[in-house]
This record gives sequence, structure tokens and C-alpha cells, in this order.
Amino acid sequence: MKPTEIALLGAALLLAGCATPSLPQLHAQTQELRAQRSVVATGASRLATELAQPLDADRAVRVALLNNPAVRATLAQLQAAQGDLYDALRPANPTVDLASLDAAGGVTRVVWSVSQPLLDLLFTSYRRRHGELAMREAQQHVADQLLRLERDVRQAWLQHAAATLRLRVAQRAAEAAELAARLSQSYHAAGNISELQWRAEQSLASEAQLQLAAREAGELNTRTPLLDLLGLKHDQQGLSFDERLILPAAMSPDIAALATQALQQRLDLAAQSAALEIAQRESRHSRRWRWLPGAELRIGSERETGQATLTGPGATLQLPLPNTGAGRIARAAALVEVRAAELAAQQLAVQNRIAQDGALLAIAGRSFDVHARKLLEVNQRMLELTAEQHNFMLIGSFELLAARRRQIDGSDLWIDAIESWWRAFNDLSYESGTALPVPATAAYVSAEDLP
Amino acid sequence: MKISRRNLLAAAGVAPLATRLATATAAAPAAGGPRTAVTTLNGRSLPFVVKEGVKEFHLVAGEIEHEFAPGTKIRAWGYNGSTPGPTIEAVEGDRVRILVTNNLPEHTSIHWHGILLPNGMDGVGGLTQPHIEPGETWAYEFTLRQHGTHMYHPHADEVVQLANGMMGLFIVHPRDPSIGAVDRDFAFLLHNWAVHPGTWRPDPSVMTEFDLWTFNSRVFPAIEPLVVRRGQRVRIRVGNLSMHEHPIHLHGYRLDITGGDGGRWPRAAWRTEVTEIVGVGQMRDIEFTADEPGDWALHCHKPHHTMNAMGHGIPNSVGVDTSEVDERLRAMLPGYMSTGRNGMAEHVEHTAMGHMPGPENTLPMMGGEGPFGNLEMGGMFTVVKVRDRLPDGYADPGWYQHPPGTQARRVETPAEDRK
Repeated sequence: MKPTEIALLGAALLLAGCATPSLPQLHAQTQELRAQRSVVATGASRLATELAQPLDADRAVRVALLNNPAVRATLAQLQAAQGDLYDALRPANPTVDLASLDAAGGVTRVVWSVSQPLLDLLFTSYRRRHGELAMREAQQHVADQLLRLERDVRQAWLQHAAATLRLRVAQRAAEAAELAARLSQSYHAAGNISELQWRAEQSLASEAQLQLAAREAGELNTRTPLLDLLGLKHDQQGLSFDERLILPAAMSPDIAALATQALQQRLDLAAQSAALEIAQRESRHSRRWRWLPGAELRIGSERETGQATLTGPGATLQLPLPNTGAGRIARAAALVEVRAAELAAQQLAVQNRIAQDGALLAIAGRSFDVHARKLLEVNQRMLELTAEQHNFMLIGSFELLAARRRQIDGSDLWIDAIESWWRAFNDLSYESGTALPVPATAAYVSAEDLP
Repeated sequence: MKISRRNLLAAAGVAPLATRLATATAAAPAAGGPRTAVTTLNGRSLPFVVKEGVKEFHLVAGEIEHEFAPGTKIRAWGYNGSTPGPTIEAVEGDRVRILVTNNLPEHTSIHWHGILLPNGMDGVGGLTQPHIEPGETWAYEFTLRQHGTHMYHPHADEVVQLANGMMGLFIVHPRDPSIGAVDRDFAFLLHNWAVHPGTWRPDPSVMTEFDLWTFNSRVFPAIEPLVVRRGQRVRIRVGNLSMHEHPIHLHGYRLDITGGDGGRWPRAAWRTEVTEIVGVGQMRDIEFTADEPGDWALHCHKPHHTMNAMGHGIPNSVGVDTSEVDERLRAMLPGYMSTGRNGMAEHVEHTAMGHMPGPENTLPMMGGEGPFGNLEMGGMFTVVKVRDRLPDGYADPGWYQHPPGTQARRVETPAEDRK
């Protein structure tokens, strides 16, 4: 996938790669992220271009980013975060009190004052940093959701492609079984095999048809979730899928390095770190200002009919008694614990998943190389040898067709192995927060390549 | 898989001994006196040396490479590098000493089938003697008190050792050469082999469903013809060490059955047959005077015994019209050919022309080409070639040239061919 073609993902990765940005940078990045979405969302022709060709995994990701309604919702979260940041950067508005009091005898007293919460002014720097962190958390969360969407699309596309190939396999197996059934009918009609033998072949053909129906349902069951992710309707005109799978290539990623990298680069971890930092700041802030729960500065004026105008400042101080703020402090401290525990749990889960995905990738690679590839070769050779036996009338045509069916069925395991490898690859790629390199000299396998 | 004969011989330890035999034994196989030597089809007689009036033979048991016919080689067990082992020929009254060296991976013994001898020389391992262990050489010594067609074979782990081809002929000529004198004296052993298609070692576990049926461990068309000059008196000695009985049939002649397991029968006991059943473990002497020239088929009359490996119990294709699905079958199975609707002859055509390659190291079930087309035979089949003249001795004279008016002719062709 070309990063330039995936503007949203590019922006997301940009976010992932940044150190703590300045406030202007945060604004710029957010705008960029939303602008990209805006551009692509209005680019109907771009979608049409993508859909004009059979969707492979990369193209499916692009279509999802262009068209998935959830992406719109995800990006709207950024707008909300921006609003929060705007509020956070500004102190509370001052309060104006105005009163005109009439007394008997035509005496009127006019009183007015302007008050401003004192702490709001004192905490400007605190609020600013808080806002930056909150914005950062929102960006990272959104970017992570986009990367997660990419992973989900890839997995859904993979599942569908594998299900489609399995469907093709079942079609071949059904054809082989049907041929055997028709052949057996000819043998029975000639008086050479019993009705029992004929019916046995018919039974196998029916079983193969049932299997075919199950595979058709399997293809449909994987197609719908993929369409959901792509934001496409089931009857989308001109939609077609690339039915090829890329063959796995030998690779041995450094799992320990990937785990370390993940701790540094995972966006959800970064977002959780930001949430923890916010909680820590709040906790510190609560402790620091516990004895000053509230204060207000005021300037006012009072004039009574016939009297001099009185003008002067004032202040209001909230006393830390009987509530000493202990509850607020305890809650803030608890929230720190909650955020820290959530982060630790996620870090643990990430490392465990990377270890698991690495192991699964290795197992899938081994299965593919050692077993699936060999199975395919061996089954092919077995069919050739069986054909030779058939040539010499050492076995009958039904045994030859049964061998063919076995060979066809063996393709399922081959597809399973390829799918397992890619599933592990996609998961590892997401879990590690690193786009693992796709084999450059990848070969494809399509239904035509299957035996 | 390639089987190296040299490796096999070396592994079996046969090569040095074979060399020793060749240098120590200058004597050619001989029956003694003016008697007609036995012609062992595709085989030979065992040389001997005379030591203090005793004819001393030496059999070496070991693993060998054996070829049933071009294209099919196996790892077998035999004697002196072959299966069957060389034919032992001696004369009634001879004192014989037969050294037996065991180069097999397991113990063995040799039973002299049908020979009258002291019990301790009967060669039943565990019963009349301890087994001959690998690497050992034992001596059997006895005086021949009879004449006739006999055999030798192991009597130790018999299932394995016989299935692997360990057998041979033991022919005792009458002291009086005039008894049963013939001009041509042929001999062969009947056997069956479970060499499953694509394999190269006999399977001793098989009891009835064999793949190959042999005369002297060869199958047609690799079995030598029996070449005879017209007018000669011919004897064919047949021993059966297979698991089945075999009705041996010779075309063109009435056969005198002149002897059996107990030796030569009195003239009055002879039977005239055209087919003689040779039971398991039995021997028969079949004689005739070759007074009608030609190429005369000699074969077991069980049709499946004149075939090589074929599937047993596979669906019969005769009469089955598969044209409706043939094209789709070929698309699904490249190279697929449906044969047998009109019989198996068309199948022979395809295999003979190489259209339908078969399993490695496996012969088609039928083969062989004659002067007028495919013979469609295999297994226990060969030809007795009777000729007026044999300018090259008893070398194969080729196919018989039928004199005009002595051969079947076509008298009508199908209408469509006439067009």
C-alpha cells in the first residue's frame, strides 16, 4: 500500500510518530486529519476508481477509509476534542452583578460588581497543559481506531478471499463427485455394478453438493462483514473481489524488538499514557490546592441617591472546612490508580499478543512450508501415480476420481495454512504498531492454481 | 529405484563365491554319458566337481536382483545369483554332496523335494537339522536312488523364502540312458509373485491375489521359447512351487504325461492329454513328438495366469458407455482415457504404444507382439517353436512362416469397411 494513497492512514501514522507536539502542531494535525477525511469523503470519483477494479486487500483498505461511516464518526470525535480544548484554554467568564434598590422616600441604591473566579486565573497554565493532553489522547485514540479499522478490513478481506477459494474447491469436488455418480450410473446401466454401488456414488455426490452449499453460505457469511467495513451495500454495482491470495514468504521477525517497539509506538498505549498523565496532574492539583477550594475577586460600586459613590475591590474565599477536600483528593488518586492499572493491563496484553502472534506466524509459516506445500505436491504426485495405476487397470475409474477428490479436498488445508499465516501477519502488524513489510517478490495463488 | 546388481551381489556376499566357483569348476553342466542335457528355460545347470567319486555342487543363497521382463526388476532371494537357482542335474546312483552357503540375512535350510534320502538330509530346519545360520556353509550328502524330476527349496521361514523366489530344479537322470531318452529336455518351475505395482520386493503376506505368474521366474514375453526340430522327441518337465494349481496346456499336440512326483511312470500308466494340471508341490513330465511345425502356444490355461498385474475387483468396464462424461473427465483428469467398453484389447493397444504410462517397475497386464499383432498375453505363456530346419542351432528362429493354404483367412469384412 502506498502511504500517499492512504491519506488518512498517513495522517494517523504521522500522529503516531510524533513526540509531544506543541499546541499549534496539535491544531494543525487535527485539521489535517479532518481535512483529509473531508477531501476523500467528497471524492466519489475516487471511490468509483477504486471499485472499478477487483478489490484486493490494499484497495479494500482504501475503500473503507473513503467510505466507512464509522470513520466519519471517528473523525467527529476529533472535532469534539477540539471544542474541549478551546474551552480549556479560556478562563471562566467574569460575572456581572447589577442591582437597583428602591427605598421609601425616593431613595434608590444602585449596586454593581464584576467578579472573576480567582483560581481559574491562577490555573491557566494547568488548564492549558490539561487541554493539550486531552487533545493528544483524542488524536491518538482516533488514529488507533483507523489503524484498527485497517487491520479489521485486512482480516475481513482475507477471510472472504479464503472463503471464496474454498468455495471454488468445493465446486471442483462437487463436479468430481457428480462425474463419479454419472459414471456409476453408466456402469449400473451396463449391468456391471450393483444398485448399491451406484447409490453409494450418488450419496457421495449429494454430500459434495451439501458441502458446496455450506461453502456458498460461508462465502456469504464473510462477504457481509467485509461489506459493512467497506461501507458498501450488498448490491453495490460493479463490485468484485480479487480472489487471489499472496503466498506467504519466509520471515522471522524479531519478536522482542517488536514488543519494545509496540510499547513506544502503539497509539492506544500512547492515548492511555496521556489519560494517566491527566489523572496524575489532576491528583497533584487536587492535593496542592486542597486548602483553597474556591476564591473569587470582585470589583464593585455602590451609589445611593444623594450619597457618594462607593467603589472598591472585594474577594470571596471558600473555607476548606468542614470539607477539607479529602474526598476529591482520594477520588483523584484512585483515578490515577485506575488509569495506571489500565495502562499496565494493556501493555501486558500487547506484549502477550505480540508473542502469541509471533508464535502463530512461525507455526503458520512452518505449516505452510513443511506441510501445506508438501501436501499439495504429495497429493499431486499421488494423483499421478493413481492415474498410472488406472492406466494399467490396476484400479477403477471410481478410485481415480476418489483420489482426485482427495487432492481437491487437500486444497482446503493449503488455503487454511495461507489464511492462518496472513491472519497472524496482520495481527502482528497491528499489535506491534509497525507496518511489517509485505514480501516484495510475492507470488499469488488463485483458484486456477489450485489442483 | 535403481538396483545395482553389483551392489546386491556384494551385499549378499555372492560375488566372491561366484568367482571362486567359476575358477574352481571347469566342468560344464552335464548329465553324464550320452544323455540329453536339460534346457532350463532362462536358466542354467549347476556345475559340479568330482571329489573322490562324489559329485560336489555348491549353492549359495542370497539376495539378488531379478528381472521378470525388461522394465521390471526386483530384489529377490535366490541361489547363485538367480531365481530359480541353477538346475542340479545328476544321474541315478550318483553320490552327491551339495554345499549350501547362506548369505541371506536370516537362517535357511534346503529341502530336496521328492528325493529319496536319509532323514537327516531332508533339510527341514528345526526337524531334521538345525537351521543354517547366516554366513554358514553346510553340506548335504546322499546317494541318488531314483530318477525323475524333482525340486529344491528352503524349509525354513518358507513363506518368506519361497515368496522371494528361493527354488530350483533337481533332475536325476536314469542310469540307463535309454530310459526316457528324448532329443530335447526342457524344464521350468511354476511360481507366483506378489510384487505390487510400483514396488520392487515380493510381499510374502499374500496368499491368493498374486501379481505375476512365472515360468522360471520370468513372464511373457521374456520367457524363452522352446525351440525344437521337427520330428524330435521332446520332454517338458514342470514343477509347481506356487500357491495355485496350473493347467499347463500345449497347442497342437497330444501330450504324453510320462512321469510325476514319484518319477517316471510305466508306459501303461501314461495318459494322453492336451492340458495337464500341475498341483501345488507337484511335478509332471510331459512328452510329445514334434511332428507338426509351427509356433505352438504353451501356457497355463487359467486366463488370469497369462496376464501380469491387474486390478482385482475393479468395476468391469465392458459394455459401459462413458462418452457422456469422457470430455469432462479428461478436463478434470488430464491424460484420462476410458478404455474397456469393448473389451481389454484396446487397452493393450494403448499401453503397447505408450499412451498410458503405468506405475514404475510394472508391466502392463498384457503385452507381447506377434507377427500378426498383439498377443495380449503375459505371465505363464511361451511358444514351442517347431521347425524343419534350424540353421542356427537352437537359437530363436523367429516367427513361423506358414505355408500357403495352411492359415486361417478372412472371408468377410464389415459392410462399412467394404465401402
